[in-house]
Amino acid sequence: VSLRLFDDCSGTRRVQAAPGTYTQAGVNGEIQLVAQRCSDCGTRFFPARSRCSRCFSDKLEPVTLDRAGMVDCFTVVRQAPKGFAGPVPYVIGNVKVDGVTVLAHLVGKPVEDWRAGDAVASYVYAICPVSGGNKAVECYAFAPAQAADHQIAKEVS
Amino acid sequence: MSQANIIGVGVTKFGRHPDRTVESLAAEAVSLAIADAGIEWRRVQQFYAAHVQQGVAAGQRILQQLGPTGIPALNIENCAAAGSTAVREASIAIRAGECDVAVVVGFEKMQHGVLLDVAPEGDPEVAMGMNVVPMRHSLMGMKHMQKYGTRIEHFAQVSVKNHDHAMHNPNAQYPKPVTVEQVLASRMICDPITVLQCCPTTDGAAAVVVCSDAFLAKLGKRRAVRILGAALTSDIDDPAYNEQTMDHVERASRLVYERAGRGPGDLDVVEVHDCFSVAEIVSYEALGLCAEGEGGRLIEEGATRIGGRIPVNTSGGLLAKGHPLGASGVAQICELTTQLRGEAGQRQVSGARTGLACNMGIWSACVTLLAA
Repeated sequence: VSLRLFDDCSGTRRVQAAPGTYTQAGVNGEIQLVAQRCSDCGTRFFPARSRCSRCFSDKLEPVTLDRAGMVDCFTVVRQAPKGFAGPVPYVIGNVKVDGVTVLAHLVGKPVEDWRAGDAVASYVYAICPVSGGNKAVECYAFAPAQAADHQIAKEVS
Repeated sequence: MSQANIIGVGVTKFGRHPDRTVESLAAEAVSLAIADAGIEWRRVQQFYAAHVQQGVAAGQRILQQLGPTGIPALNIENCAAAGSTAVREASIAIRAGECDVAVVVGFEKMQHGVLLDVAPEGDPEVAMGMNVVPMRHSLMGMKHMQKYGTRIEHFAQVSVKNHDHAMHNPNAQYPKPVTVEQVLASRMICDPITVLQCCPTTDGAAAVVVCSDAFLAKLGKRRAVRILGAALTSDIDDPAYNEQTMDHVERASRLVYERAGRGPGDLDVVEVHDCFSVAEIVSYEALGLCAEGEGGRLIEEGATRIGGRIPVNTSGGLLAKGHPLGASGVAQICELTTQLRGEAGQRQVSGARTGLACNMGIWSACVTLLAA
């Protein structure tokens, strides 16, 4: 897997897009998403919210998700939206991971090679500014799953 | 309890109006609707102004243009569902006996290019590039293709049909035919949606006059169209947070069918919220015009063209008529009223008696059922 980690974004300042949404990255950029679990009914959420949408409980506790997921569907964004400083095209997909569906960047292989059903795992990812920018946006993403990913997930947790 | 009746409609030309203020566009639509209703402006008892980004107290600014009569003015923002949301509010006020005559005007003057500022400043999704306007529709389209074998040509055909319909709507922004090949060859925005499958940004306004049964009886007017039901829903934020569906449309239409004692088989003409081509195909299914997964086949068969089994977006839809955000929901109801009165000229659906409008905003859907 060739990920655009922060070493690729030379001369830029790191900014976390959504602090607290994932664990500290491992040596290869492995992360676990930090979701919420309702203590009353067990429902899981990502990203975090104020109340459980099933039972309105406020007893929501952080829970780290398994790293392994599956691409449910995806799209290729070919025109950058306002506020996004990174390169286009890029891939955004819905990933089924450990009981929740997460909308995230799909990275680590060519845009045209993505398919629904692809096995993926969670990694930290850097959106490097294409021109003129000095701010790299750090966020969670999914990349093709490696054989070692499942083992790493267990070690991290 | 009184029903709510539509007795007047007015729509401006949709397009670019660089030399006009949004207040003048809205005032034009209201004036047309008042003239169409054949009533005096001073009879209006409540005023609803639907818009998304037209500033503080836009409705009151419009009243200043029309002649301030001191009536209640309500500004309604509900993203692109603002227009039909406001018509629903007016009908609720009339059914409750709060007033006998209300005017609803939807209006917008928009910037060129993609819709901006739909997410709050500092939203992490913005920096992550996940707040792309067509994205929800793109994912829904990709999922539809995977699940049901729908093809990109089906989505393109929506744009082709709606542009054909717009040819007969003098108020449409793009009354020009396009081919499937042209739609597919146009710039890809967010797969599978090309630029010709995205609605344009538009300036324009649309207005309706709504009244009670008692007022209608005094008026003795025979061109009235009844609002049989209106339902507004928002997304259910379930654990499958990012599931891309039109469940909100399905729930709103079910409510309306139940209240009106009608079903999809009773509809003669439909306006749907084709902000992106995919939305029209999925709306067919959510509204029950066809079975789940059959939306692609429905457009392919030509069933939703004028002359087909159930014509959809006879106005040209958002794709070709244009999409001035706050005006769109009101304009849909104006189109249906015109159709149900038999006054739609070359785009008339013959014998249309019952119509349904489906207007969406981000995370909201408003469905309105009308009958002649």
